[in-house]
Amino acid sequence: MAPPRPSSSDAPPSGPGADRAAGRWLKRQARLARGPIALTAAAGIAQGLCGVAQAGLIAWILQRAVMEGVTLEGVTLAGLWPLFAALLAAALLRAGAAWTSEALGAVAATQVKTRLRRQVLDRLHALGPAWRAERQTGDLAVTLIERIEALDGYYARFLPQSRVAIILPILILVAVYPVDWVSGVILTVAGPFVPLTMALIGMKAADESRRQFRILARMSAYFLDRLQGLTTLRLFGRAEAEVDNITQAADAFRDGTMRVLRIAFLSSASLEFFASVAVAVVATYVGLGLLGAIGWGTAPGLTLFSGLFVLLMAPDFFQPLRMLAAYYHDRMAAIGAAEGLAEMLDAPPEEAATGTTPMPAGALDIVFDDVSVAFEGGARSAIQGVSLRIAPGDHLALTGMSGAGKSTLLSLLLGFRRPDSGRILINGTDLAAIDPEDLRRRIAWIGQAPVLFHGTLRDNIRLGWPDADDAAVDRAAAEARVTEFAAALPQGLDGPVGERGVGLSGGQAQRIALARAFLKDAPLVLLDEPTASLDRDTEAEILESIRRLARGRTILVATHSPAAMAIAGRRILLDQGRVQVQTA
Amino acid sequence: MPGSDNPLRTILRLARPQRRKMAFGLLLAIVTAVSGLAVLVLSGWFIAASAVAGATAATAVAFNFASPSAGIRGFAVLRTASRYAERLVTHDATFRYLAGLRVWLFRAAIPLAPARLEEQRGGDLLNRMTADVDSLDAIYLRMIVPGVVAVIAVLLIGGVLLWLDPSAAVIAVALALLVGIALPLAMRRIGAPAGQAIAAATARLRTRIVEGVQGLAELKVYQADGRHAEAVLAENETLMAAQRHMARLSGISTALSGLAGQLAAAAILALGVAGVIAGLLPGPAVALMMLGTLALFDALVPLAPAFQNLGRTRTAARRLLDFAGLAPLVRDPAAPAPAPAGHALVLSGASYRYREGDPPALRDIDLELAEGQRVAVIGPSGSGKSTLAALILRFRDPDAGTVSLGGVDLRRLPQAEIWRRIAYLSQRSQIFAGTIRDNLLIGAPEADEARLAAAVDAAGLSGWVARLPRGLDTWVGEAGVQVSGGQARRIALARCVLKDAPILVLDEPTEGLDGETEAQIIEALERMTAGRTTLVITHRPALLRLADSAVLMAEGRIAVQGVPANALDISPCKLTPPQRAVHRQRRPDATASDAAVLASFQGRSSSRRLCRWPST
Repeated sequence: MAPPRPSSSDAPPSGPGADRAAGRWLKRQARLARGPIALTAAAGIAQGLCGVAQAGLIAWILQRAVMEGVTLEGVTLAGLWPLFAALLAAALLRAGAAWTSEALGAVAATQVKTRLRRQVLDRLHALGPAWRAERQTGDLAVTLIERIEALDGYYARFLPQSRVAIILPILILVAVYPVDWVSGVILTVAGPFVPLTMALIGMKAADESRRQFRILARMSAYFLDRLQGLTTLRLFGRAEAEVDNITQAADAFRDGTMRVLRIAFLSSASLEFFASVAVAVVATYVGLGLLGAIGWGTAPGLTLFSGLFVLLMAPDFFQPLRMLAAYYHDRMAAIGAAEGLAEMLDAPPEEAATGTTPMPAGALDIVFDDVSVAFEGGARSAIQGVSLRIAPGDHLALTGMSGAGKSTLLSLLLGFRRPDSGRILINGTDLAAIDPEDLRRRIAWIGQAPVLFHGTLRDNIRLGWPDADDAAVDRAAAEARVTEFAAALPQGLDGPVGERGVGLSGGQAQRIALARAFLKDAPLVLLDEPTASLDRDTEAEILESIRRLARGRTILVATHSPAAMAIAGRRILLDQGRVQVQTA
Repeated sequence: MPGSDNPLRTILRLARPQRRKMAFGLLLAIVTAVSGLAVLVLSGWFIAASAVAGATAATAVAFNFASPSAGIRGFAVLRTASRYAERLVTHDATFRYLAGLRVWLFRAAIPLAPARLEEQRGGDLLNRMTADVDSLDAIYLRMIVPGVVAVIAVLLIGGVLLWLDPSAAVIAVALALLVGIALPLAMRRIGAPAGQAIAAATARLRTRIVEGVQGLAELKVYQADGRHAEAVLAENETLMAAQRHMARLSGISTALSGLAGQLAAAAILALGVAGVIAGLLPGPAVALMMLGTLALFDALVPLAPAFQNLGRTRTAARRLLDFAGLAPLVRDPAAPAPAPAGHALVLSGASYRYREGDPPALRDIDLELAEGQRVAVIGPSGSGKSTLAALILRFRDPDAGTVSLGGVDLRRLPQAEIWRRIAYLSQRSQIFAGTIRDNLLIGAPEADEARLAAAVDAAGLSGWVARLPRGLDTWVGEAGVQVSGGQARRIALARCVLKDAPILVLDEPTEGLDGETEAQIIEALERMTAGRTTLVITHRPALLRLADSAVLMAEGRIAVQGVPANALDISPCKLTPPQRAVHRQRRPDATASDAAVLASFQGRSSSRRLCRWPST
């Protein structure tokens, strides 16, 4: 087996343009939590201002004690108490601000994440099963979980801190200039180098980060695929060999992670370098000034207070940027994640979701008028020029080889796809104009392998009609003969079923799908290979229930099974997307 | 392993291959921390000393300016460089460790397939391999490295303070221990439930999302997408609330450790100032003490959040260990028997039940497949046919009785040895994400182009493959070209052809296929089964062509032994007494009870259905 590799769909849009687009997208999402983000930043600034006050107090205390204590008489510890009290107050305020900024950051991030999750889910539902069929389950799960979680640090920390990093250094300069303007100038000159370098390095980093997300999605999909196929691999003696591929996939992920981090570390090292140089220059200036070796600028007037204050402020001046750098990987992770999210949120829906006309009332008269659907690449089943009429109460079987276009025809009726040419008319109204939600309200559908959702059997049946009372669910369960096997379960209909219906046989799962259809009581029932994965006995039992379901309804069943065809009054043979034979 | 009281320690043992790298990373972290402390302490002392020296002209001239400032610059550069190196090394070691964990987990999954793996949820398993493994980066990066750095900082600064002013040392170290030990322990206790809540909520959210993606068609048709979205968002809200709670807790710990550091600095400032006023301390020493204290507490800051997340890390480790500790239902023998020469399959007295208390799926099965014999197993669903296949494939071991291959009990053979000899085709055709070629090569990795072409042809795939623009290199599987059920089955069939195994186990190999595809597959199988020991499990009369004789199963027993397969072309309902006698002749020890079973079986609905089988 080949190790994971790019599939055709992931041509990477890269370069600074894509990075900027992703950055803009992230900033736009900040509107989802404008208030909390602003408050988080304000708390961060308050924290920094407490630091300024503390530095001033410490410098002042030392000035008084060390310098004046040495040269003047009468300085006592007791006399310094007000300064110590102020120092304590600043420390308390600072602690409060630190707590506030962390708590509010989480409020901001969870708010954005929740809203985005809702949007992505809505989008997924709007794009529909036809879009989903082309994507891997693991990949979509990564989008909804990891990609959105990856935004956490960006909104909780990076974005608020990016505001702090603009405002706080300016406020610190405002405090430094009156005390010692030469140091102020040194800091002012050194400051802009930092974000500049970081931005240069960051562009490369964002590219790597996006790549990394693709690797993660691929790795997840790969692991799921191989875990699900592990039995087959073992039977063919390939499981041990697959370990090598898993190793490669895991190593590729590690390698990608390190690429991203190397750049992040380089960026923070460069920041640290600039900060060190600036602090060293200030320290040298202050030191020499205090020694009296510099005769210009503010040097002659330097005291221990002004010198120490400036020296304490110099690292603090860079601190907000440093924290921003520490959070920079949050931004990179978010940029990488944003690409996939934006792509999904901006994907054009394939669904014919534009219709607003209500579904025509009464018995359904369905006409396919020269309907064609083409697929690119030709690997999937297209349909060509299909014309047929399905009268109310018709029981119609769609037959033909696998890939003849049966499922495509059903997905057209469900509004999951739209015809490329031709029309489908329902009681004379073009299906494309009908509100798809309203359309599906009148249709029940049963697929080959029904998905059972986490919950009880009853919950799963109630999917057909959420407002149904227990008695109605019980009736549907009885009609679909769910009751029979449920009786053998310890909790009956109230017993749990799991992901993909673990614990239930194919026939039992199919009966639950039937019960949903009974409960929904729709006039049109579409069945896509309803008995394909069942044995003959179970098939016969399921068909018996389908026959009951069919009474008074229009039934369209796509099937290979002669037994299933037998329930239909009319057969249509599709061959390579064309109607070959219609038999009454 | 799962019983170990400390899952973190157990999972950390798997980091052995990275231990040199991890030790080196630790060394670099210590160098970084020490040089960072040195920069701060030296520069504080330098400024204060300059100020004091500069106060009188004489001392200013005598003051050695060059060496402390060179020291500051040297340490600053060293700190920058070693921090960069430290981060690279520690992260590289960590991610190598995590990659190793993923492979370890996959290895652990191998012996669990298929019986134990079926019990696991797909999304859950994936969560373990990705998110759970990822969260283990905290052990080394966020606990071990900062922990060691903190200890070094306490010793170093504590030592310097002790030398200058013992009472300052006592205060600083006491507060440091509070922040470095008491606070993390408290946060660990408080944070553990929050961490577990986050891990559990993430897993639930993932399960919900995965089922929603898989069941999208159902949700749309039943207009349940909105309700399912609400269910997802409800799980989301649980997770978000847990995250906010965690952030508030970590905010408390950040605030408290910051506060403690500032209190310590203030206290030491007060002590120092008192010392200076009393003439006991030189002025510059106060600046040094205070800045040193601030630096000490900076080193302690990362500890509390790390311990707060310990709960999450521990849960993840526990989940991984639980999975890895699952006992496979079937184990390879410690001392395997020599590989058998023949390929006869014999079940004698084999019984199996899935769970304690369930009715047995198989009861006392005696069945013999001589080398090259082809036997069909028929019977209603739930009669134990697939369990029979599971025993022959040694997916499960019989509770009683034996299954033997070439005269050797399967339990004495390694599973790989058994599977090397069996090609298994079932109604589940596993298609892997990869090219068609990748999928075929699983059957025979060394197969050349000609063999592949022959297998593709034998499976009736050549027409389809020829129509594909990229032929065998077409990407199939979830993200690739979608293959129909028939195509998937043929790919699986081609794999079996390539495997060229002496034994064939066919479990409903044509289920779910249309008539034409079924006919083609049967034709291919007919060529394949010739001369091979074959077991065909089926309902379909057409498949009886693949067998020489058939057994009829009901309720976990063999109800009718050894019916000639062609005899089933006529309805068993019409079996005349002489014919029945013929059947019994094939099993001379047949008793009255067999007759009773047969009679009772014929009274069942499935038997009636058997009667309706067409004769063609």
